[in-house]
Amino acid sequence: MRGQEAGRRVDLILEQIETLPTLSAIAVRLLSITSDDEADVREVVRLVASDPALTTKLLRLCRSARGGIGRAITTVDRAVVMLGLDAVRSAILSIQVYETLSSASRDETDDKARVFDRPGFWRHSIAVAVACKLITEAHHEQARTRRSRCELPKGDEAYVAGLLHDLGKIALDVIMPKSFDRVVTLAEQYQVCMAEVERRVIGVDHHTAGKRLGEYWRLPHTLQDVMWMHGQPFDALPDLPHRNLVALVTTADLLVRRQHIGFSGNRMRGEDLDATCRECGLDPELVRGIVSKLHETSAEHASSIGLDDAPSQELFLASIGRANEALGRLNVLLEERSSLSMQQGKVIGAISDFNAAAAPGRSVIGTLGEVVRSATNLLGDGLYLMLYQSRRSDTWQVYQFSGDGRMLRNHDAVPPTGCKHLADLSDEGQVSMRTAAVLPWLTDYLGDAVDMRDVQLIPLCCAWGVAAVLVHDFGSGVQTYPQALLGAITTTWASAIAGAAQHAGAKSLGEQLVEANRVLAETQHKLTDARAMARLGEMAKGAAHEMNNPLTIISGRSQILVSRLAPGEGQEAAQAIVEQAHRLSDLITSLHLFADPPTPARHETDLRALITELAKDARRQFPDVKIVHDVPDDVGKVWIDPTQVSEVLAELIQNAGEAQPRSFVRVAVQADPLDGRLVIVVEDDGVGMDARCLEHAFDPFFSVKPAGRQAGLGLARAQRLIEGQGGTIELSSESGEGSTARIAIPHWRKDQSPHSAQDAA
Amino acid sequence: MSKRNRDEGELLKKQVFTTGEAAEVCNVSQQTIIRCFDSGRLSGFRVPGSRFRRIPRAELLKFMRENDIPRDRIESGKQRILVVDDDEQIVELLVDVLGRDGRFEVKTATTGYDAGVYTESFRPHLVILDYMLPDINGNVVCETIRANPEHRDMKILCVSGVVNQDEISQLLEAGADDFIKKPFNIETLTQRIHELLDIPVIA
Repeated sequence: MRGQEAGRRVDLILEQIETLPTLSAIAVRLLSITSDDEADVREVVRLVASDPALTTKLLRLCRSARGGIGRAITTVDRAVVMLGLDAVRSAILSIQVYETLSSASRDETDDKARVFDRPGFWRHSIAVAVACKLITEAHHEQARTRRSRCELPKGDEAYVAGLLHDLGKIALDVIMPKSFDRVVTLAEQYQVCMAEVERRVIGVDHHTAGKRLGEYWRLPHTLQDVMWMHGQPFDALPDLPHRNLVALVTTADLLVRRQHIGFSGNRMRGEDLDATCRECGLDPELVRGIVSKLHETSAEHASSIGLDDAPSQELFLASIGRANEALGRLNVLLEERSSLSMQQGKVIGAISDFNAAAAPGRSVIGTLGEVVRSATNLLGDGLYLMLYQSRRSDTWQVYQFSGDGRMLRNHDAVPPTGCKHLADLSDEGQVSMRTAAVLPWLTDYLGDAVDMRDVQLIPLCCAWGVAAVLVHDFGSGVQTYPQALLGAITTTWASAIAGAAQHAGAKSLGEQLVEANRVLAETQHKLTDARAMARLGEMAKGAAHEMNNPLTIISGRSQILVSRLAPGEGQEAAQAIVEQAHRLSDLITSLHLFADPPTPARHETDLRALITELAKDARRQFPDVKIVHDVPDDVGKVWIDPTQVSEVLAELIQNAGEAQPRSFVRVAVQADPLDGRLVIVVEDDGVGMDARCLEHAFDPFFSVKPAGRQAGLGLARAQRLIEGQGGTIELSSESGEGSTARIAIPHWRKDQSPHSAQDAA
Repeated sequence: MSKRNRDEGELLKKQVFTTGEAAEVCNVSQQTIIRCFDSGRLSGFRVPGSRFRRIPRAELLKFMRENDIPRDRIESGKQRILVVDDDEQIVELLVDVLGRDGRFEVKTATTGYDAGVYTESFRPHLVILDYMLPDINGNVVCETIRANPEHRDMKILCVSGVVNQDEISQLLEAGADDFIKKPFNIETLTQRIHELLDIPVIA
């Protein structure tokens, strides 16, 4: 869209060129005459002579042009004879062009207020014209003795080319004086090529405008090309026959600007005259040689076309004054530049300090603090808040930092309704607008310490979007920086914050991965255990069936024998066979039950009664041991599998009783104050267990008890049963101090049990 | 063999009794039997198209048990026990054990199928059933027996080497009256049998 608009605008400007006055009939006719044909010459003479004002000016110009000889020229006819048609034609063209465009001058604008110095411009153009002519003539002179690759037209043609080369400027000035003034101002301020500023401000440069005017006036192609292409490097020019002419004008323009004659408007510096000369094959010495004649001849020519009558000396002084003026402006500019570069230096220093302090793996908050530290160094003391939103979070975090990057406090802020994620608010205005909605809240947060009118929000943008928003109070005498400069460091900060956030994300992902791996390993371990148990269960089940049948026969037959045999006649032996058969069967059964425990069937159970009963049994078994139990009233009815828990407790009490307790075996019940699980502790002050024993206490068939007691499946089975109810069983022991077994069962109240529903059903 | 003896021998085999026969068996008057029949305390049916009352054997036995009437007129005193186990040695052992008591008439089967056949023909008072049979599992046998209402008084004692509480529960649900684990204590076993058959243990 913008491209199209600009294109239309350029077209309008170029059309306007065609509203400029046309050249006079004489000029047009002159341009069409290409030869020294007698008839044509006569016609030109007749035309010029019919215009007395033109005749006067032409004769003045001719006289000044040819120095001594010129004084003899008194008629147009004579001028043509003496100077040749080309010279006369150039002179007439100069006069005509000048007059045409002067008359087209802006009417209402106050000349004094104008930046574009039109007389100065004409003086410059004439000087270039004169320079072109002088250089050409000197070149032709030199070419007679020395070969040169540079072919130039006649001096008069070069003169016209030089005179008209910047015609486009006049055209633009006439069409849009205000814009053109701005172009001149900007070109001067930034010391850049005028054409570039013209393209930016107006949309079209004086080269194009000149070419258009040339077409409109039907000037020769040579001239059009000079207007269009002068100023370009020689190598960049297309391969035209008059390529050297274009280059000549470029050189002459440069030379004249160096001499500060007139006003070109162009402030481009740094071009090397010698290099420009060499590019197009001109002798730099030769070019410089014409300078002595340049000032004087230019002044003469200027006055002869009615520009003014300033003597050459005055012209020189004026040009020196002008040069000084330019120098002064340049100094102001340089000062501005140097202050800017100092700021640039500070910002670059801050960026480099910030980067130097950057540490890999710093946290997001740490990085925010670093940014504040950097900002404090750059912007000065004051309030510093950071508005940050992590990728997965719905809320903004507001962090307040001290100047040295310590976090003072932080707060969750709910973003304004409908607000996108902070990172997606890429547009600067949007950030300010949206975040402004938290400002009332900020006022409360900050209290009266800060004048809210000074608080500004600086979005820290980088390629990922807005990494965070820096809230800073730009109150008293804080150092300010141009937006572009500030942008350089805010991007650096933003990238650091975004980097830290990415790193934090990656780190947490890594941690999650490690966690997941650990869980996986545990699960695999448990799965392996479960599989082993399942296999053991299958095997034990098969064994129970296959082995219990023969054991039944062994046992049964032996029992019949026991009843038939008399004591002392084998009855004891038969009885032993019966007992061992049952022992073996019990072992198989417990192995089976261990590997494949029955599903717990929870019932509402009076735990106190259950433990009292167990304690009673234990007292019978261990009459010498004091067995105490403690069931608090608040435990009351519990929702457990009474058979299994009873079996487990019996095993634990049995173990405790066998541990030769010095004074007691205690069974205590409580609800765990931390996780609410039902905890039953069985402790004794017996012989205790050593580390090895403790480690293997739950292994099936591990036993340190003297042979004769049933195989060590008790604790292993107890563990299986408790785990079957979702609980845990732990053993702790000091050798010689006693042991403590601790059972913890979750969901032991009927209403909290996940099993209660299915058990009821 | 006296007439009474012959009659009693017939009574032992009879499946359906008239009120007169029931009165004789129970040693009460026929009027009492009729009153009990009509009040529903003694279940039976009337012969279709007539008013003759008929009492099935099982109902009469139930009535006699409920009223503590000695059953020696109608029953031989020998309790019929069917032993089902695929292990012949175990069957043999059980036959030996039961034979020592002298009050049991024992038949054996080694498959679930045979067990089903003998349940109908032998009409045992008690089935001693091994849980794991070559063809069908014990709980299926239990269900089959219980499916026939005539066998609702038949006792089933399961015996198994596998002690899985869930399986035991299944068995009891399927209709088993009790369970005993292999290998068993012979005393315990006979005690359970007597309890189930409601007969005194011989000291």
